[in-house]
Amino acid sequence: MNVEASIRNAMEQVAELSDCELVENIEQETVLLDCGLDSLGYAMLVAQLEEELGFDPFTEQQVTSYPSTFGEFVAIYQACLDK
Amino acid sequence: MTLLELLEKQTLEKAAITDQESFSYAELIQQAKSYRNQFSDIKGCSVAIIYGDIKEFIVALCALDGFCKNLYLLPDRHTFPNMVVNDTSIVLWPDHEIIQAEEAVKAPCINTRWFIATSGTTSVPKWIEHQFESLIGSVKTSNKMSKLVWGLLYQPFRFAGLQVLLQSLVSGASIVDLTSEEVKEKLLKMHKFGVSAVSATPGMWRQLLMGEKLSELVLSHITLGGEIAEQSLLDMLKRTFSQAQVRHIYASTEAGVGFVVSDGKAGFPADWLAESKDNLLSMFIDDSQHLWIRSNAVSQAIVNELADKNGFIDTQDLVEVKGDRVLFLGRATGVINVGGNKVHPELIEQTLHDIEGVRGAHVYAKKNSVLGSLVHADVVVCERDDLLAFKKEIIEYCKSKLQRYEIPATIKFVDNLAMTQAGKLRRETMNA
Repeated sequence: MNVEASIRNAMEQVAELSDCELVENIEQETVLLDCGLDSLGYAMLVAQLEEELGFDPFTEQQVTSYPSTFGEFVAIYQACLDK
Repeated sequence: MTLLELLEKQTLEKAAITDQESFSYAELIQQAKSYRNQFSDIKGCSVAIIYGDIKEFIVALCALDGFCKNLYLLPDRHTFPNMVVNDTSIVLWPDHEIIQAEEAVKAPCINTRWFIATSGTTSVPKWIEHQFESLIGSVKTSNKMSKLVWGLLYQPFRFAGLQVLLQSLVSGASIVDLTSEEVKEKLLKMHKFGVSAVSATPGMWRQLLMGEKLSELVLSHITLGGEIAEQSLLDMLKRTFSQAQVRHIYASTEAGVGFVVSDGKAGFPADWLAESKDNLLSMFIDDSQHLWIRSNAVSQAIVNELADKNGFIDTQDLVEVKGDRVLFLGRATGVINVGGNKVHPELIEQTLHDIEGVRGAHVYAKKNSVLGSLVHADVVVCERDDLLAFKKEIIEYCKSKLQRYEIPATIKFVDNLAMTQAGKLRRETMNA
């Protein structure tokens, strides 16, 4: 499963659901807070990904620090999936 | 007057109907009297009744009201010992086993104190004391009422079910116990026994409305209680049963029966706040939107425990005044906190129910690592193949009606909604 693709797809859906507008060209280095989602958007993103992937890495307490870039966000999910 | 004395006035044929047979008032009374003779040693004791069937339950209530000191209606046998608070000795009915036997303090027992357990909202039942007179305070009697056949959907040892049972008995009507059947079976039995009066929660009504045969019933008395009766549901029931009187009851175990609204509109008239309705009931709304109520039906023990200095009790129900109506928003404690924003699950449920194709919805908090909690909705839909498209439709509709944080972040299509034994939606659900 391509986690990054899942996340990008979920971000699109959540943006629509939460009335946010995503910036174009989100890269690995793009800062999460600059992606266009606000806290509600991220809350929804995490909830949506939990539905799709079956886990929420941020409640597992395996995450020592919160991601700040899109790349880090993806990496956390990837790491959880690889376990 | 005791229940037995009241029933002795009944001259009608059938009082209780079970699958196998029906029983007359005379039979029930006779058996109650023979129980009193047979078990004369428990006169003045405290007795806890375990529900077996409707006939035995009625007989036990008749025998024990005015005969025993305290009467506990047990929701189940297992939690029994924990609830014994101030009694040194309690007799279990119908087993006649004595629990916690120390010295039994017997009392002369004209006014039996009834104890009913609160349902659902918390896991620990709370025992509320009632007087028989206040329990039958709202019973309506008439020639027409005596001809009704009540379908009992609430467990009769709960407050709502006991109200239905006492309404049926004191008015001289008949009652069929439908509490343990599946929805489909309930409907079949309603047809079989010619049920003409039903009292149920809005959630139960939605389930019943999903059944095909409901509209073929000739219901003349429809009552909603226990949860907020929404306009869309009241309208649907009125459309389905044009001959019926559709009423919704506002009551709580703590405050006893509050009032009945029979104008077919959700909530209650705002001018009831200003005037004291029938001089029996006064209400006001405080700054936090809590509805406070003062009623003659509330037992003195509850008033002593919960009331303010003017005798008002905080119902913990949130209300808002909209035009000339006072509308219910939900329980003060059921509120979902989404990143500091308060969301009333009932309000979201009402919005979802307004969508064509939605048969039922249960909205609750889902734990979220980002914001603490998010709004989640379990939704029951009419048969549809394109669920993904319908989900979008639901979200679009919600977006047009709700704040961003109120829109369900996750929606799950389910076959049934989780209900408590009392037929209310489970409010305590908090998904991890």
